Amino acid sequence: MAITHILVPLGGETDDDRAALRAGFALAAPFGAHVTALFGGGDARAARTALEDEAARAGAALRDEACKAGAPTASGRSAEGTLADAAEAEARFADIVVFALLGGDAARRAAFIRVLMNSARPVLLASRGGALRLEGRMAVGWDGELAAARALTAAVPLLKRATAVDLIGVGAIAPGRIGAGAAADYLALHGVTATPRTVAPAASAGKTLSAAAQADGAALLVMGAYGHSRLVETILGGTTAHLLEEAALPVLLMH
Amino acid sequence: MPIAKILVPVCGHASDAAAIATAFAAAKPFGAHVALLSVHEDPALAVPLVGVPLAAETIEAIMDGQTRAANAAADRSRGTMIALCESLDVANVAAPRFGEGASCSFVQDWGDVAVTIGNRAALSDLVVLGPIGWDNHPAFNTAFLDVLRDVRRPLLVAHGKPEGAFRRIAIGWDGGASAANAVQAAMDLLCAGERATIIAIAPRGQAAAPTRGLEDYLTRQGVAFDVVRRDCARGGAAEALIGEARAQGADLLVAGAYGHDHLSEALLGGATETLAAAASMPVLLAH
Repeated sequence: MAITHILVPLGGETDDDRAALRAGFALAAPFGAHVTALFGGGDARAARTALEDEAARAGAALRDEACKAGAPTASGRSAEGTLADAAEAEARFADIVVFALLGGDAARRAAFIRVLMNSARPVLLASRGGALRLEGRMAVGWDGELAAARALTAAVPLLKRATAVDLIGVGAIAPGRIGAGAAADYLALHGVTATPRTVAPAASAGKTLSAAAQADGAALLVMGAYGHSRLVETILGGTTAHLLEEAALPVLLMH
Repeated sequence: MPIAKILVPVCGHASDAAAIATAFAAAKPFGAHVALLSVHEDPALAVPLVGVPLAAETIEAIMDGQTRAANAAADRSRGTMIALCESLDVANVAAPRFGEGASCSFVQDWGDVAVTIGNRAALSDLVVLGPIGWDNHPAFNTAFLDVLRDVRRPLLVAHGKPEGAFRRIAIGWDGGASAANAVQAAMDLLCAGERATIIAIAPRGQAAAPTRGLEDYLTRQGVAFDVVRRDCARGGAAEALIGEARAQGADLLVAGAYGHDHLSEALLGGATETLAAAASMPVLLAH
């Protein structure tokens, strides 16, 4: 499936908003996709200015009416209700949702969690500054769990643009889970060549994984996101928690 | 991401033919690979725990019988596949390769049926099953639920052998997340088809769900569509949807599965099971 619609919920924090938009437009460029910025909280006027600046920088025309994907376009609108409600509703018609790294803003954090947990869409966490290039090496965290498989299948349009894909396991895959060989076979059917390898666990699995991907010079890290309860924000503990605030490379997450 | 891998669990029953032919119809526009999976309980599990030691010969006889039955079922499925490969012009290959046109392969595996299907479904773009509750392996009903609700892969439920490609595709629309997920799962098929019809359905007396977001999404994907609105009796959404899709001449129906939680689904009359079992055309479901 082609990527035609990218949703970027903004919290009104200028630097973060610009980073998210920059990543959104970098993602939109190769697909000629539309970027919808969702303004919630903070200074909506500043957010709109950020959208206009970043759209101009990316050569994307501002256009409210939907048209067939071809050249990148953009539009913005204010969230009705909370940012989380609006982002979850809008994500139903998006192929991917982009957030800046989580900081202190509670509304954006809530929206991130809601979209990740409820929307069944991949979430791209932009790195600081929002630089994103869809080329070169890409890494996939592979532990054989269903969340990793969901992330992998959702990431195919992006992985197809890589010159090399590493399937990185942290330690051994648990018995009964899906082997890295099966994941490589699946990608091969999509025309993507992937190489499985294992790194020894050090610190948390998330830190080990992102360090390995970074050492490879990966442009993107794809991984499953885990949570045990939908009720509280502390759900995103363990593997993914630290990445949400300080990932050094763009991360595509899927719950 | 065009569809590249389609999983078809088979069981040696007559329903195999419909599932395989439907998978071929879905695979052809994309040159996708159709992986048939014939999975059987480990024969050792068929030995009853009777509390007294069984003679070694008895155990062996039970396990032999199970193995023979499983192999016979696999042979029937393989035979059905080979016949359909010839009549529908799909290559039967040992190892599929990217970009060489629609192909299929056959794998026999042993283990827990639903778990094995679930693990293989997790790395497939689409799973195809025969009509639910008709002639399938009983464990396929568990797999049906697992694939939709846990593994969360799109599931195409066959209905007979399709006449050709899916040209006219009906979308059952209630505005819910499951329906939107089904549309997303069906997007490659929608793009390859000729025309889609959004069937916006709501219980009598209630306003139909807005279609604007869905229309914009389809427009961006380059899918040609029209919109019809249809009301239904309470609990009668599935029947109304099937009726309207048939009236529209649809050769595929796309709908959300288990949009309500399982309990309310049961109270409302099991719309998902009705869709899966009673539609007169293949139904693509996602949760």
